[in-house]
Amino acid sequence: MTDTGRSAPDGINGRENEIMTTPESIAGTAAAEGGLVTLDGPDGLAITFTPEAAAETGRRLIAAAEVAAGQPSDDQSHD
Amino acid sequence: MISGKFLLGRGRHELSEDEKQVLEDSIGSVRQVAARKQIVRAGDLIDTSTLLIEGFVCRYMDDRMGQRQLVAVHVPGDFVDLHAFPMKRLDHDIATLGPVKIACYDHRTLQGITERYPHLTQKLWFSTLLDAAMHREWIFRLGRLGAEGRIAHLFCELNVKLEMVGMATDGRFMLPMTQPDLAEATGLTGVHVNRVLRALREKNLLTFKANEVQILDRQALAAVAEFEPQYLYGSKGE
Repeated sequence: MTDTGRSAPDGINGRENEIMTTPESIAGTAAAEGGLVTLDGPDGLAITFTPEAAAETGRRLIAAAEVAAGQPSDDQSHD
Repeated sequence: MISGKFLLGRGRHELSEDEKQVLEDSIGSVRQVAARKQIVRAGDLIDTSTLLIEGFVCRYMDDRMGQRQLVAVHVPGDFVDLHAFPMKRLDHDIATLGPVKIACYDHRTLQGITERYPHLTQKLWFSTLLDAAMHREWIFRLGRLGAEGRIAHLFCELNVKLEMVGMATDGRFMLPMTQPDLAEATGLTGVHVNRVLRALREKNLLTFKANEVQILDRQALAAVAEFEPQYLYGSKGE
């Protein structure tokens, strides 16, 4: 059997406060391929854009990031 | 024996010779179907279930724009739609990927098996539960893995399944899937699949050319895929 490190040794019981998907702190990787733009990960992200859609998504991401940076951080482990 | 791959590598040896013969004798008809043909349409009332004898078929669902999501890829030995026996209709379509040979079981015959052969019935139930286990893994694949992981995972899964039925050796097997098929199975675009296949090749993990898959580094590919084959419920010594 291949050990891929997929499961925590104590499973879900030791992770009660970490079950939900957490915000990603590593940037995705963008690449140009065949006249399109691919955006990969992290966290399972895998999408292909037209160049126009990629550029507009980039602008919207930057705008949202600037707003988010000025907001108080939200502790997502609590409701 | 036409049905000889059923549960091969997954406890077929636990079937008695009598049970194997009952399954064989219960085949209502054997059909050859050309590549890229629909076998079952979602919603239709059906009274037979299909055991895949040769070739590959897929289950799929289309969105309102006609874009397709493959939700399963079946290999020889799989009962493709045994769940139609109790449900009488499918919530997805089934189509061939390459040319196939299938055995059709009339639901009245399956009913007779459930009434007279409880152990064989349990094994048929087991085979539908295998489908459920694979669906859970496909949800994991699509929800948690990136593009390389998704493609790597699909190839790891197919390799193990085909090894069980003697159709993969040393990581090499034939697969009548196109890059668009891979895209539809992994929720990627064709261009994304193309890039991932190149990346996997450049990392000396895998090649896929002219329908032939060669896994070059099984352990490393499994690591990319976070692939752990327990969900396929293989048995040792078959």
